[in-house]
Amino acid sequence: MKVLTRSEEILLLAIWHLGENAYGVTIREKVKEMADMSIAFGALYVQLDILVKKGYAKKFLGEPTPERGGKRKKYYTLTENGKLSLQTARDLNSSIWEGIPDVAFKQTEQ
Amino acid sequence: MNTPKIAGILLRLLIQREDKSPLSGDMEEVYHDLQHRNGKFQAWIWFWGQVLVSLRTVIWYSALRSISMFRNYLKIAFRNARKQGLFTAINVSGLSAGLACCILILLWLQDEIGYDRFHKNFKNIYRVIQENRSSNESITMSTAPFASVPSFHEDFHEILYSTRFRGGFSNWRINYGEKTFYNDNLCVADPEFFKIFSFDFIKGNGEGALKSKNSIVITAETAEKYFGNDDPLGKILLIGDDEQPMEISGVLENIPARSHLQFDIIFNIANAADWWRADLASWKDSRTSVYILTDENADPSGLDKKIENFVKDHDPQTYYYLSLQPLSDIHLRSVLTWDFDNYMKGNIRYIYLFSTIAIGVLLIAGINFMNLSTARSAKRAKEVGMRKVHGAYKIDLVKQFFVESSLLSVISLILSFFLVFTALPVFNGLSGKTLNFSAIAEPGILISLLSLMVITGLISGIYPSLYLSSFQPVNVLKGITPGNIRFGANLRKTLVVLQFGLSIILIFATGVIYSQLNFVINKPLGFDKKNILSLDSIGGFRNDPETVKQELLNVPGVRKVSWSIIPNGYIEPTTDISWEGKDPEEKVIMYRCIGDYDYLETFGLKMAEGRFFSKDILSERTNYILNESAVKAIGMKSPVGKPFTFRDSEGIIIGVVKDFHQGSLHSKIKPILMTYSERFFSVHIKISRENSSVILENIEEIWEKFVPGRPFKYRFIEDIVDGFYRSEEKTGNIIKYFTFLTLILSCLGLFGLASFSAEQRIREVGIRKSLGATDISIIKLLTTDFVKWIGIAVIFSCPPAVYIMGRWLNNFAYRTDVGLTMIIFTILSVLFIAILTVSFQSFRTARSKPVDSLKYE
Repeated sequence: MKVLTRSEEILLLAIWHLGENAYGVTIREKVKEMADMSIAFGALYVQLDILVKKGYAKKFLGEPTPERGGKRKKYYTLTENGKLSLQTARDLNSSIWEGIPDVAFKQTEQ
Repeated sequence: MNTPKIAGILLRLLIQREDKSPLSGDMEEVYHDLQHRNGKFQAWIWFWGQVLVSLRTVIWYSALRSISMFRNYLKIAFRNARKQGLFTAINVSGLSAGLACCILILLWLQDEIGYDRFHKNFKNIYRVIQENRSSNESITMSTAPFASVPSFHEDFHEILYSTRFRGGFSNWRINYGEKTFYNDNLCVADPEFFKIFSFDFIKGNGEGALKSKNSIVITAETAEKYFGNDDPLGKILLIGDDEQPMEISGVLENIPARSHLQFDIIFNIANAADWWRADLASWKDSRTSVYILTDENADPSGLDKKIENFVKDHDPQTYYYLSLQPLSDIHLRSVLTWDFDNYMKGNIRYIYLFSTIAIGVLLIAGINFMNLSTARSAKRAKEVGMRKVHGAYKIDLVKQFFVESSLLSVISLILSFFLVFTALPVFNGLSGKTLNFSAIAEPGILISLLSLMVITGLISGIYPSLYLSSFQPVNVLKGITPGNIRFGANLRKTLVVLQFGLSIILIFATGVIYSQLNFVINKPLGFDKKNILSLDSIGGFRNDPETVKQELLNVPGVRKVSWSIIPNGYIEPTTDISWEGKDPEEKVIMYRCIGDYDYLETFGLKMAEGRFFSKDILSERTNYILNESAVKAIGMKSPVGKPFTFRDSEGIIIGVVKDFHQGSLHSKIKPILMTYSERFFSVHIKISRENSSVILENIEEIWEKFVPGRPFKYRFIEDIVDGFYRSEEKTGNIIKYFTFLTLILSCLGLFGLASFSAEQRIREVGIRKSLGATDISIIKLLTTDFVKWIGIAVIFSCPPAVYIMGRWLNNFAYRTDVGLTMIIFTILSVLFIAILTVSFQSFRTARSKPVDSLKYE
């Protein structure tokens, strides 16, 4: 299985956090909140579409609501594959970080 | 509820179909949220910021996609072009020939319409036109009375400057030091000339030039001829036989080719008064053109009305009416009875004619392109279906076919440059211009060329691309022919009819022009134009005509010698005549021919009644001879012996000469008054047809003896007469080439279509042959259809062709008729060529073996 990139990981985590309510606006806000990254909408959808294409997430259209000028929302949820990849990413993270003491950082900071 | 409008539109354009509503919905949601929290302005900034940021990404990705698709289109286009080499060759050669025609005509047009525009005051310069109205005709001339020049700006405050001008003095002897030159193109003008026209000075300036009577201005070219590299300013030239000294007060840049005023040396007009022995303050004498410069704010039409009776107001005895002609009209729109022009004058009719031809040729080439592309479309149907199945939108296919047609038009444009480059010398020879290939690089031309190319690409690509991209993939992949192929076939037929219609009109026009030229050159003129020399009478020739005449007649082969006016040149109109029983109010114009007693026989004229001038009678100066038209114009019965007065000298009419064509056959025979003179400015010598070179040598010897040091220059009357039709001859020549080209292009198109239809019907032909059809019947089958179209073209194009050429023939007072034979000849030749074109292909198909066409792969 391929390893997730960092931005893929962050986006997938944001979608996971949001659960039922993951669509453009909320995903963008969540990413900002979690990782202090701001993504333009245009770029956001390109990245989300890549996730869909790779099979980590899937999308479905919501009902039109009046507060958005009658426009539909596009919701995203994780696929099983996506969840699995996130799991792998976390395992990989902890395994490669294992045994590195905080001291190492302190030395480099000097 | 309102997001920024323009940004919104931009956003919707950027987003791909499926994302359209969710994404713009997201944007709107955030926008409203921000508007509540931070106010409208910040929200606005944010929205625009988002759109602009996305713009960058979207443009980058779509460019990437277009580039890779574009590469694919190009690749396919090249493969197709190579696979169907014949069609490509027909298309490209047709289009490039069409474009080359357009470029040539564009260059020519650009040259023609740019005349005289280099003058700074171009818009405010006018030439004065003088009109002589009488009961039998009205004569317009590019002249005005001498006295009008100082009076113009005294009487009208809106006229700033005015000048007289007369060019065309030729063959003058000019001495500088020891050297003798002969110069043409001398002219006279007032000093104000340089205030009106902006000819550039290299040395000296417009203020000082021509100020005194003996100061002159010359052009750079002339300066080099006389002085080489020496400074010409202040040098003295001795002018004419009496060697008048003239000082050079200025040197001009060479006169631009696109100027209707052409001259080498310009003199102060005061000299002309001496040369002509004329009074420059006269209201009756008008031998010069007059140009005026008006104030910028002047009202030209008001001024035009004011000057109409200007001459009459000053001198009630005259009959001249004046009007103004803008400088911009002189080259192309000037239609005068008489004009001084010593440059190649244009005509607006030719501008229209050649523009129409250019468009026509391009149209024919474009039609070929459309026809062949749609005809080929059946072959491309599978490709279109395949592309659609793989997700191409209709717009992608349209783009693809436009790329193909533009590619061909770019190649054609490049080829057409080569064609123009090689054809330019020929075209220059035909049109008498000196067009330069580098003029293509001028921005005006370049822009129109590029737009021409784009338009050709678009127009010839539009039908194939829309038509082909509309195929339904399911049907074409199953092998069902697209439903609207019938429509395509009808369109093709219409276009072929149009092409051949145009070709027929052009062929007919060429035929008519040549038969009219043939008619005017061979029509009996009432005099014998053959083997008559015309010489200027100067020096001893002018001083002692009787002795010279005897010497000339002693030359074996010289038949008759006459001192007389050139019968086909400018002859002076006059209204200063009266006769017995004339109504004092009546005004009749007659043209005055001057000659001695040998005039009649030299030109082979015939008398209707009475006698001609005779050597033995001394009082011939007051005897007059009229031609039949003149007798008719004054309505006189048995004129011989009746009194007649011309300019205060009373005399009698001694004879009536039979009508002859004095001028060109464009105009009717004019009323002519002949007066007697032994020593005119020109000599005419009738020689025998044999040994003309020996006779000419002998005449030259006599010339040397009586006029030493002057070059022996002569013209043949026949050349002068034939020269009247030079512009028609030139048009005929140019049209001939275009006709040939359109015919070739039409035939190429027809050939392409014929081979296409033969290819499509190859199975049908195979089956017919295997069932026993003969070759001939197959050829007939394949040819009839095309011949039918050509027949329709013939029916539609004959009426306009006959109408247009009838109008053209009306320019001539004497003309041939548009004969039935000409029409039949045109039709037959077109039919013959078309059948030949089609049957070549049909023959090949008919001869093919059914086995080859019927077996599957």
